[in-house]
Amino acid sequence: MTTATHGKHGDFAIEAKGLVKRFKTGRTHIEVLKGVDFDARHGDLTMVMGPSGSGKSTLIAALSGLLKPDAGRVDALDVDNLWKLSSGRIDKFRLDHCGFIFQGFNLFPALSALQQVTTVLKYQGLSGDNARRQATAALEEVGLGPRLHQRPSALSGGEKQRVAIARALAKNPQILFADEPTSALDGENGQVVIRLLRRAATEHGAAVICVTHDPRLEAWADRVIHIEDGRILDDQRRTPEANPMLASAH
Amino acid sequence: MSLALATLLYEWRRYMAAVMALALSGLLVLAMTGVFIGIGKGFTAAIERSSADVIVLPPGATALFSGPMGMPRRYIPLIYNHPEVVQVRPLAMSGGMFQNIRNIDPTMSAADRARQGAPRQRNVMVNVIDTAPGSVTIPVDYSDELVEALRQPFTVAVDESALPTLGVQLGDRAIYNGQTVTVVGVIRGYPNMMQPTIVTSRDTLRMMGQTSDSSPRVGPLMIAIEDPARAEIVAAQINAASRGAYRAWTRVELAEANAGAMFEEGILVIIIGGCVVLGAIIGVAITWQTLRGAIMANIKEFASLRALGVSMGSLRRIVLELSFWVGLVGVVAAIFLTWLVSLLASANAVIIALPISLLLIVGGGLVIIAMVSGLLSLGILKNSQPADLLR
Ligand SMILES: Nc1ncnc2c1ncn2[C@@H]1O[C@H](COP(=O)(O)OP(=O)(O)O)[C@@H](O)[C@H]1O
Ligand SMILES: [Mg+2]
Repeated sequence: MTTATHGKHGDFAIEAKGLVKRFKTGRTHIEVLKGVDFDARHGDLTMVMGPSGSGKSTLIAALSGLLKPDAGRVDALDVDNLWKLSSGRIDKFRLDHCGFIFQGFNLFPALSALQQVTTVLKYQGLSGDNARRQATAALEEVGLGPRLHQRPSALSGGEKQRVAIARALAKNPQILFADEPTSALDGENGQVVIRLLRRAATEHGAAVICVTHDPRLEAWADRVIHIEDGRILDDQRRTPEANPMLASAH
Repeated sequence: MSLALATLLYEWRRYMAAVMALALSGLLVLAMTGVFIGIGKGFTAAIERSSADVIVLPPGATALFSGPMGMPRRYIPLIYNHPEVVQVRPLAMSGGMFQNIRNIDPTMSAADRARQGAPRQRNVMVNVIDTAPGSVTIPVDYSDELVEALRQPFTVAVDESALPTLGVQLGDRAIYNGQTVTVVGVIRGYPNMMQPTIVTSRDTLRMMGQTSDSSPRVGPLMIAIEDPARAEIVAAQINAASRGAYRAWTRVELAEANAGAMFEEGILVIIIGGCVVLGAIIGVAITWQTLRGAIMANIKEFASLRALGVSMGSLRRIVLELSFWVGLVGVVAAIFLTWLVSLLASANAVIIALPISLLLIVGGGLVIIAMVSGLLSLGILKNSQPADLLR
């Protein structure tokens, strides 16, 4: 993969102020985000941790333009107030700049690993050859070079998640959102995945925002934000213990 | 390969219901229309294979034996007035009762005799030819041997499709209108779904005392001219001299008018129209539901594409492309099914004619049905909410 990096390490990639999100349940409203301020920087692996139901996923959805908050603003890259854009432009922003990794892998059963990745790249406007080259590079980077032509049914859970990561990374995104990317995986595969996220931040300068409630992942983070009941409890900057450059096998 | 095509090929079982629905809709319309065209062709065949260069019918008639029938016999010399006309013969048709004859073998057991069944009696249509060499009433595909055989008195030929119906074989004797005849020929390609047809000579008919030769009215006039290439010109000249009393057609012209006239019949339009409407409703309903189910099965994958920034419009295009491919596979399945059915039908003397233009029209219709189903199922894409993947 090209080692193009984005912004300067340390620059803000995304800044949100006063995010509020309420859901209607029956007659009552529950406030899931209660005025959250949030930012994330290029080159950082920012970990958002908190108990289940604390609003982590809702926060990511609001930051990434997937779920409109009731109040607050999001500035991302050079876009002032993402939520002012039309939905088409928000789509375009995500297409150009954002990668997503979910707990589920969401791979099309009919497509080979390579096709999963090229499909997205073609929507970015890449020609067939370029898309294939770039997708192959992304899959090799996640260690799936030998499995390019396997369909999901022939891949293990860990391999599927790596295809999903390659699909997100192949676009060379400036912001990478990951929602519980390891919770469907065993410890070993979880380590592989977090190592890849670590590398996306360090080598490609992406702002990686990873939601998890797995405490083992904390060691890899540059920054750990704890959220509980829709409020940020604390925000710590730290030095990642594990060295991704040595730890990565490839 | 595109996502839509790959999905269709990989999960083909999921789409089988839609493909089968389209195939059956197609079969319904193709088989129905094909049967009618086949019937029409049976009539048209007699025109297309006749030796006549020009055919004269009463005004308003477009078929050999329907519509206004018969003309005064005195028209025959009128037509001979044209210098290029070399032969004019009225085409005659007759009908009667045909019965096969059982060979009674005295040594046969009662069981064998029972198996042989009772003699069969059938109402048949009789096509009459003149057996003189070069006669204009002999179809072009009759062999010299066949004409030779029919020249013998009290002989008939039977289309192979009518053999089982009549219970006779080549060489058998049978009874036609109370007189014994021999089956001396079997012809091919003249099936008649309505009524079995036999062929005999005008002389045989005369000997049976059943000809209408003395009648003042005659059927269609079959005309041979010196140079068949000038048929159009001669027909036009005969028409110019007819003062509207009769109408001369070239063979090709009449065959076309004959095929076209069939579909001007109201009942045909209603039957085929009904099949089209029924087929379309069944096709759309099942294809729509199948596509909905298929989209729902992949809704998370679609949602993840949305999260990665792929627009809703692009997802819609995927669904429409998928519908298109489903439609195309449906067309292939429909044509294959119809072909199977037509094989089965032709084994039973029913002709299902499948001209290319009919296949194209029905095929196009099936693709449209599939695309409409795709349009209807687009709404389900609203469920591809990427926020739902964040939990
Ligand atoms: N679409 C929704 N409708 C109603 N309630 C919701 C919806 N999405 C999330 N919630 C509620 O918001 C709270 C926070 O959800 P979420 O952000 O998914 O938490 P987390 O990801 O931290 O586990 C939960 O109590 C959940 O039930
Ligand atoms: Mg969550």
